[in-house]
This record gives sequence, structure tokens and C-alpha cells, in this order.
Amino acid sequence: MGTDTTDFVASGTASKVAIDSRFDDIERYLNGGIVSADLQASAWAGARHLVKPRFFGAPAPRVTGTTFDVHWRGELSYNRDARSIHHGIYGLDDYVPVRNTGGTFKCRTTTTFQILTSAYAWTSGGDMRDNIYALATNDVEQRLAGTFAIFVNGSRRAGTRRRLWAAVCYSSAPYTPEWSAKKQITSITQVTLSAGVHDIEVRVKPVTPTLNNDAAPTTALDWKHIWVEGRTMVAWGHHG
Amino acid sequence: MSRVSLTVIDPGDNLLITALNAQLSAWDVASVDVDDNNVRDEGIDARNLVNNAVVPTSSGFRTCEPYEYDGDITDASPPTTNTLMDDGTDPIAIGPIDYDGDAGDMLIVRCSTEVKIGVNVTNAFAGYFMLRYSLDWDGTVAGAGAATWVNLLTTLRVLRINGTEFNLVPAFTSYTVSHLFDTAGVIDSATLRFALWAYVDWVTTAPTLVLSDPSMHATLMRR
Repeated sequence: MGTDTTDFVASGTASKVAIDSRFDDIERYLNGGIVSADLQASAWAGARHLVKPRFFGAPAPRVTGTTFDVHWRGELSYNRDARSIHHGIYGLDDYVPVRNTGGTFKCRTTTTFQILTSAYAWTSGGDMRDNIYALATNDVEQRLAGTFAIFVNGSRRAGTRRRLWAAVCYSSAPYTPEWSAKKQITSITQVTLSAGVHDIEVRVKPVTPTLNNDAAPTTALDWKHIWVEGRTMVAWGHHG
Repeated sequence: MSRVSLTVIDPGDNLLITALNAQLSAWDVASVDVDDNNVRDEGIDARNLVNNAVVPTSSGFRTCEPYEYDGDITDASPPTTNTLMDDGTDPIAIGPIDYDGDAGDMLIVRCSTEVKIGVNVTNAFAGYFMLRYSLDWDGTVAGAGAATWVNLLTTLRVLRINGTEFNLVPAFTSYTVSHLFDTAGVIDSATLRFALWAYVDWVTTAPTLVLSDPSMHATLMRR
């Protein structure tokens, strides 16, 4: 509302109390009393007025950016071996969270996020061979173990599914694993979120393991465990 | 323009009511029209402003319309030269990204897809995947052949299987790239489009090529 100092009456007397009152009004205004109505209506804030973001490395000198927040979470000690392990659960046909790849955050305003996730994964415990002495190469990576995807607020994002296939075969005695394909699991998505609290996470949907009747001398499951290692997720949000 | 300019009352001057009123009036006028003269450089935190309150509004970051496809793009007999990968309706492309004449914007382009090559292959093969851009592509599959394309060689990724040990084994991988694209010297005022291209080399039998759940998006940083 601006300052509202009443004029002294002409030819009157300016008392100490009256002067103090008017300067108190100015003091209150400057010390936090400015409201939006006091600001010039047309756009006036230039880029030079804004606190600059801090870039480390290119393209720092060439971008006009404005203030932003960086929120980050890191897996404990960035331990590569802190794996997320998932097992075949009979009857389960739904996505479950991959440990330490989820985050809950609050948007102050409508914000567009670009999300990139990366990890590598493999299966263990299965056996895809045809018989005891021959590798079942035509079966390897043809039975699905699980599907990874990015989820936002509990909904799978289109274009983010990445599959992991049963890929373990055992050789002849002493029956050591001869095949074990480890895979990159990487995907991206872009989503615009409203003001409020939101969740972003990577989930995996293990399929029910099935018997590989060709595995001699005894039958075996095509897979038992999904290992997920070296997980990272970066969600970069910007608004305006 | 809002700037308080007070008339100094020097020692020995008569302290007139009119002088006091002039000073207070200067405060009243200026205090309802606060503008850029009242703010020091870097004195505003953008978090206190509503969206797009900053001028010029074109500065800063903005995102382009993303491409997301939920499903498979299959090529039963992939060619051995660069081919635009498309879902039958829309090519895998972002944009268009339209420029208003400010050359030198920076783009971060990201593309990701699952890749499968197999299972008909009976010998060694190699699949090649790369982002390309065009300034004259109309954005349709039919128009891709007539357009002029430029390779972004740093985005080339190869999925290769050598040797007969891998006969009849399909190969899966994830293709994900992030590419910083400087438009300076490339484009001033035109439409820029990116697309994912692929081709496969094989020895004896043509494999199938499947891209699953591809997605692409970009960030524009205006200088």
C-alpha cells in the first residue's frame, strides 16, 4: 500500500511525536511492508536482478538462467554392491519398487521433470540348458524374467519399459554357470507435474518362474533371482 | 521509475513545514511504484516470482514436446543403410523446435529405447543406432528420404555379436544417449528436427530388428 505520511499543517508546528510517527511509517514499509500492489504492474525484473544458478563446467558462460533449487539423494556411500534383489513370487503379477530408486518431493509450482534412470541387472539361480552337455542357446534370453519401468505417482510412464531375460546356463560337471548375461537398464521420460507432492521411482515386475523341463539331469526353474546393481536416477525439474 | 530523491536540509536552514512535507511526499510517491531501480543486481530470488515474470521471457530453460511410444517397432528385414525408425504412424522424432531468430541456443537431446536383434540370425551381426538432425525434414516418414540429414556421430552405439557360438540367440540392450547440441553456426531461424536412425549388418541371414518403448525429449537453453 506504500507509505501514507500525512502532510503537516502549513504554518503549524511539527512536533517530535508527529515527525517520529511519519518516519516510523517509512521504516515499517522498508522493513518488510512492501506488498505486491506497490510493484510496477508491467514486467520490469530483468535477468540482471536475478540470482544466477551455479554451473560447474560448460555451458556456464553462455546461459541466462535464474535461481533454482537442487535436491538430491544419494544411496548410502554410493555403494555399488548395495544391490536390490527380487525373487520370483508365484502369483505376483505387478510391479514392485526397486530399492533406493524412488523419491518423494514437493513442487512449489507446475514443474516439468526430465528423468533418467540407469542400472544394470541380471538373473541367477536358473538353468536354461537343453541337456547336461549342450548349451541351450536357442532358449537363452527368450524367457522373460522381469520388466523395469519408470513410475510417476504410481502410474507407469509410456516408453520406459526395459526387459530382463533368463540367461543362465550351466556347463557339464562341475556345473558352473557358463552363461550369465548382465544388462544395462536405462530409460528416460519427461513429465509435467502440478504443485504438490509427487513420487518418482523405478519398479520391476518379476514374472512367475517356470520350469525348464529340458534341463537335465533334473528340471530347473528358468530363473530365481533378479539382481539390480549400480542404480542411479536423476530427475531434473524446471518451471516457468 | 521509482527513486526517492530528498532535498537535503543543511545546518542553519529554517526547518519549514513545506520542506518536511516535500520529503514525506517523495516517499509516498515512490513507495507505490517499486521497479527495477529499487533492486540491486542479483537481488531477486526467482522462487519469489510467478512463472514468466522475468523479462525477456525467452531467456532460460524450456522443454520441447516429448516423444513417447509404448510398444514395439519391428523391422523383419532391416536394411544395411541408415533407416529412419518409425512406429508406422509417427517417426521417432522430437520437435519441431522452432527458433525465433536467436541463433546459438543450446539443446540437450535425450533418446532411449530397448533394442533387440534376432532370432533369425545365424551368424555374426552388428546393429548401429544413431541420432541425426535435419533442417528441411517435414516430420513425416514419407518425407524423410527427401530431407537432408546430418549425423551426430557421438551418439552412435553398436550392438555387435561375433562368432557362431551365439547362433540363434537374440541380443538385447538399452540404447540411451544424451547429446549437447550447439545451434551456433548451424541454425538461425528454421525448424530443427531430430530422429533416431538404425541399420544392421549381418553375414548370412537377415535378423529381425525390434525397438521397444522408445522415448525422446529435449531441453532448450536460450542464451
